[in-house]
Amino acid sequence: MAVELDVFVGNTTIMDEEVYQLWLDGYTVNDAVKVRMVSEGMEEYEASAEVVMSDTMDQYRTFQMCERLLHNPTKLANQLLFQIPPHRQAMLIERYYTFDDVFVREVLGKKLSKGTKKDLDDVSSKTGITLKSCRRQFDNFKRVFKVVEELKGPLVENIRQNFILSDKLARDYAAIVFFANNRFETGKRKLQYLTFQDFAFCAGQLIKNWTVGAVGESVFLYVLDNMVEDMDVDLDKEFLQDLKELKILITDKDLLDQHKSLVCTALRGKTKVYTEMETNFKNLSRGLVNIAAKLTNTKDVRDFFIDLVEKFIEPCRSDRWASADMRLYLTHYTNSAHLLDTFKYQVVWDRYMGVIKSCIFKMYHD
Amino acid sequence: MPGKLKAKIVAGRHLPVMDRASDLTDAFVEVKFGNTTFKTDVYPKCLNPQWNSEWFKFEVDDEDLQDEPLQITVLDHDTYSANDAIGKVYIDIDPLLCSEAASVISGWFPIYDTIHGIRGEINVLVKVDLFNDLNRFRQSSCGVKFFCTTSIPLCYRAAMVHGFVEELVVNEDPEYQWIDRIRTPRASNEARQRLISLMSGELQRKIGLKVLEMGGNAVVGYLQCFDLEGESGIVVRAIGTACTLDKLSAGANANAYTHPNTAPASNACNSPSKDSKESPLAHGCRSTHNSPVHSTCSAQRLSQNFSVSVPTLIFAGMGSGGSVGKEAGPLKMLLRQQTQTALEQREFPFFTLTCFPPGFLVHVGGVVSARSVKLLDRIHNPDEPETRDAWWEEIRQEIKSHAKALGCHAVVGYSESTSICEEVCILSAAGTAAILNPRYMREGCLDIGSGDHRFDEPSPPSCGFCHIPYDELNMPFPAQLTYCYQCRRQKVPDVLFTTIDLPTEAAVSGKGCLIQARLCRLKKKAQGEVNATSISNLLPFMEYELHTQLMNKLKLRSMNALFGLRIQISIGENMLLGLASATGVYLSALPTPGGIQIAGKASGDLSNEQHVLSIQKRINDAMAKNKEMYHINPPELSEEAAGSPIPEPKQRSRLFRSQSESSDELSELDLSHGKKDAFVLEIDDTDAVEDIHSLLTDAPPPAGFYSCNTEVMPGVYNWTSGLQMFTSVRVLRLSNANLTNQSLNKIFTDMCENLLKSLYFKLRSMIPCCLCHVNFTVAVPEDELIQVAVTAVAMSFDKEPILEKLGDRAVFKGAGENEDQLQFPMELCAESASVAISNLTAKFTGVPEYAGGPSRATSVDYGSFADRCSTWLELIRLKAHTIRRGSVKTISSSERCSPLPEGRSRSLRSTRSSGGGGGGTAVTVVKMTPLSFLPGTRLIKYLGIINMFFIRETTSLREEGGVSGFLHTFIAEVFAMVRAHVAALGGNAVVSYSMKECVFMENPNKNQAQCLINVSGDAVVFVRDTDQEATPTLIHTSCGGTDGPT
Repeated sequence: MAVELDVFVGNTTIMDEEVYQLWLDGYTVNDAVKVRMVSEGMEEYEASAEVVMSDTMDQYRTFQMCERLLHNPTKLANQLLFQIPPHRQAMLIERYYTFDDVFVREVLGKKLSKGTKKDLDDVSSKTGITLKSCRRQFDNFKRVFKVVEELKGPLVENIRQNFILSDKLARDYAAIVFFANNRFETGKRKLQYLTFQDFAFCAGQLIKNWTVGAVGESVFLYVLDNMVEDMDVDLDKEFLQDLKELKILITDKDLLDQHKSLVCTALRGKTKVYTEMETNFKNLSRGLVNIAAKLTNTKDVRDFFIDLVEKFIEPCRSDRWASADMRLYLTHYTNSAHLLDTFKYQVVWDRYMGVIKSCIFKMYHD
Repeated sequence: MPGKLKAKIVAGRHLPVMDRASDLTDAFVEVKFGNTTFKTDVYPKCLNPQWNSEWFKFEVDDEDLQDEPLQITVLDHDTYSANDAIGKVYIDIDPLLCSEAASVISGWFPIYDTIHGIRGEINVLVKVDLFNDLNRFRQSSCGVKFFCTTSIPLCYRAAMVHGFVEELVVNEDPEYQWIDRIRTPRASNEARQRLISLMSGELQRKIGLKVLEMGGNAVVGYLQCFDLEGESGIVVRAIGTACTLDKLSAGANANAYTHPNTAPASNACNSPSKDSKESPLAHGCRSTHNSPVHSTCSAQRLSQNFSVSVPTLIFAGMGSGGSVGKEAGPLKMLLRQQTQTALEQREFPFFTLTCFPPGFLVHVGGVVSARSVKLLDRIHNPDEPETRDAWWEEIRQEIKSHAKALGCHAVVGYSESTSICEEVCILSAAGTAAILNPRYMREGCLDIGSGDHRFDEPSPPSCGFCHIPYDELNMPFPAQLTYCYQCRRQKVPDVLFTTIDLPTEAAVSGKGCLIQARLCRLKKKAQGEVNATSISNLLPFMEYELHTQLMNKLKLRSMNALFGLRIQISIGENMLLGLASATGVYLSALPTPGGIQIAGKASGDLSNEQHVLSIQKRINDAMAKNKEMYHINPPELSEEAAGSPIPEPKQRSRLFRSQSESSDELSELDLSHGKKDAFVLEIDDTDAVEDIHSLLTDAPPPAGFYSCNTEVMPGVYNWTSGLQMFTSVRVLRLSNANLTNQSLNKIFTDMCENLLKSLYFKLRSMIPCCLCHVNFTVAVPEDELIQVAVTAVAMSFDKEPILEKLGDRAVFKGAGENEDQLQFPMELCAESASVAISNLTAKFTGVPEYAGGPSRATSVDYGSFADRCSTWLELIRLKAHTIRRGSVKTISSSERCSPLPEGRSRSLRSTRSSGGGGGGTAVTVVKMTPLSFLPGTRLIKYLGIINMFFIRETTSLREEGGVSGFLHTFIAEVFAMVRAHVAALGGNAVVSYSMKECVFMENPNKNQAQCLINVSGDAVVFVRDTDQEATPTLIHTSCGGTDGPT
């Protein structure tokens, strides 16, 4: 007595959010049934395992049939096969593209290639996320990457329009794409303490301030003329070039001392770690300016975050600066540069330090 | 040249990649009608081509317009090899031929391929310019409207109901032609799809002609079926009810909500229809001339049938002998004779309607059905399908005589079906014998009779339809008669079985529920005549057992009437499956059913007696529980309770008087059958064990769920707009070779029960909710396979205001009832509401003198089994007896509205529906329902009939997710295509939707499967009750309502 065939098709496609989540999480039908049987509210319907099994199979099948459409969310809205109310469509898409922070942390900044995909079983066993779910998430990254890679215009907006995602999720994807494109190193042990959200925030800052698209409209037109495609994905080369000029802050001894004294004057009495700040000033300043100066180098761009941690965050942390101290220091450090008469690169400095400041604020935690 | 068909191909989207090298497609389109073909340009390298073609014009006969579909083929251009077909769209242009329906077809259609399914969409515009043709000999019937709906469509009124129309056409099945050996499966499937589309067009045209001849302008309750007879061909047949319908002005149908009978209500006052100008006589002539298309030569044909095609096996009991007994005596009333003459002019006084204008249905006799087992042989001449005609003719004659035996002159809720296995075919027909008000039948009488005339007549009580139509002294079968519990004047039977919907005026206590009887019988594999004989030998037993089961289950639920009864018997190689579904209700006019008594054979054995007692207890408990669950509070209690106020003093006194009369009568009856005092199930009897088993294993639906197979659920009125139509299919493989009847029964029963349980579980988020129009079909597609398909609609309702609602309803119906009623809820449920209704219906007709009628599907008479049957009838009589004895006295009014989680689910729904508005998409939401109405809406326009036939085949079954994946996709595709066609017609819903055929075949070893699906329904435009405007085009916001379970 085997059930050979068992289907249920509604005019309005029925989708249970709980089952959808189980499917997304990569549960097999059998495992999903086990989870559902003990979940809340089941006894209310006196559902037997058989009934739950049948329902789960049906739903899984529906999801599989929908998956093709979910790969191209704009199609979901005007396809005719499934009648799904718009708000349900939005839910389906949003959930499908939602990823696990633990997972994304593992592949962030890696090339979204076949090779990386092959290693997903390691990621799976490390994170405890099913391989199936890892693959879906990875494929999502790759798909979004591929689509926006070829598109002009603002990255976040492109993602939101092509994948009909919420603003938050679109920004996260923008971060992932940005990281994958620039291959930022995020996997080193020293960076392990950073969460995806830390990186996503930094990526947002970088996209907003350091890419070609970040500059005003005149530049935008200029960009169009030059057919620069990935205006949000690539860092502004000219800006990176300009950053070299900042070196004067550490190479010119007078300037360095002047900068130091300005900062120290401003800080004196306002913090418990004043002495440490004073002694470390030159070191820290060298660290930050060197990072800036090296960014023309692709290799050094990749090491951007590790450099920030090694050259700045770690020394500060070993001196036990509080977050507030850090803010105070960086604010004065940035602002004091404006008071240096001989320092001509104020605009570049602000553009650089603005991002560095907010990144370090975000990254300065345990 | 009376018509010009114009088509324009606008664009395509989501096309499949046909060229692997470029990942693109060079698409162009062929537009074909009849033998004319046009082509668009090739739109190179694009998956979303914009052809924006010129208008392709076809100049054609309207006959062709009716028969042929417009065929659109999308192809991929290939310079070097043959062009590859991407897929096709067939567009039925019939809706454009009727001025009232759609004027243009415009929209996105799924491009369908029988091997690959839906492959992208195409945007098409179609128009028809129809020239008026005054040719008297025309073969077309443009303009005749078709409705699947089995009631008078909501925005029309029936000026006249002409009667039964039927037609069938036959052809060779392309799948069995020699050429099929050399052509591809795709070509063969397409040939079949096209042929069936042509045949149904032709059939519709022919039926239309008959309707025109009868003077009608519409077919209501149009039921079209395919018989795939394999080697012997395809038969497409249709039946329907010819009517003259007048469109109601927009305002007149404002209150379409409670469904059917608003339109008829306005009948009375509407002005005469055009047809009334013809004299009755002229019409009478016409109808006789026309409807019996076969009658002139039928005798001859019949004899041909008998002599020539000998293999036809005439099923026993075809004569009208047996349990049906003698025809009703001449004691019947004048009016009836009048009606009879009116009706007898028709060859078959059959009506496919299941819902009637108030006053139309005078009395209901009971279910009549006939089955006949035939051996199929090749149809030699498709133009003269005489054998098939003769077969159906026989069956219909049978039905007619059964009805007569029940003292009835008409059959309502009539339907026909077949089950085919190899070369054996069971033809079945069933309906409800009834007496109709002649007024609707005679030409012009509706109008002649204007207002005051009607009031002269004695008003019919709302219980009128329950009163027996046959002669009390000359009953067609032994039944227990009592005086009607409502009017106390006419006789009613103890139980009433019908195939129609519950009349709106009927007074019901509590809610109804779906009742099913299921049965499997093994049979030996055999060939030809031997096989047919063994099948026909089994049939009466099955019929009998199904009825016994139904009766037991009905009693277990403390109910006394079945509506919408549908008995399906399917044949397989080695077994017969029987499934009877109906909606049980407690009719206040009928006596309270009694209990079921269990008895052991061997008394004295103590353990056995204990066993008996325990079973008895379980049964009694189940009955009590059911009563509570379905809120059955027999109204008689409130009458008997001294001093309980009854709204109308006049009514009350009469009631009281008749009460005493009837109790005399009761005791008399009791005495007359005093010897055997209860219906006894002996548990030593294996049949009885089975019965008890099936009785007690039927799980009740979970809290918050109700189910019925009729249009509406008695006792539920406050529907919300939340609804979900669905189809579910299950196939079970029987692994065990040594099955017994009993184990098979259990398997089958469990299968149906589990399917229901699954449905309840799936739809749990819609609670409180009712599954309406639950339609099960069973089939035995292969040796060891059982297939069950269900189509139904889940509708949620607001729970708590039942009491007030009922009050409102009563007030609404009765226009000015005393408000005091509200304080006496118990009467409300039956008494006052029905009184109110009777007030209203009184205006229309009524012949209260009838002793009214009951029934049971007795008329399935198999002469040779008279013995068995008579014992069965005896049993029923005994049961009836018990009913009277065991009337239950406990009632609590408080349980009317059970305090279930209404608050929660209501809030759930409201949030859900508010969510639907956002992000409007371009796709029109199309609602689908098997019912004839959508709650909370008004249907403002019928756009035409949807009748589609699809074949899907695969040679990569595993890759498509196995059989389930394959069928799941296919059903979803069929829904999508139906929705697309409706949307293109400018509609936003399909009502009276049904899946008539779902033939599934598989060959897992070859990785192959094939499925055929036939669906039909009426495309409509609806507006929400709350909307003022009648222009519903894209209704993005409505999806909140559609959004069913989450």
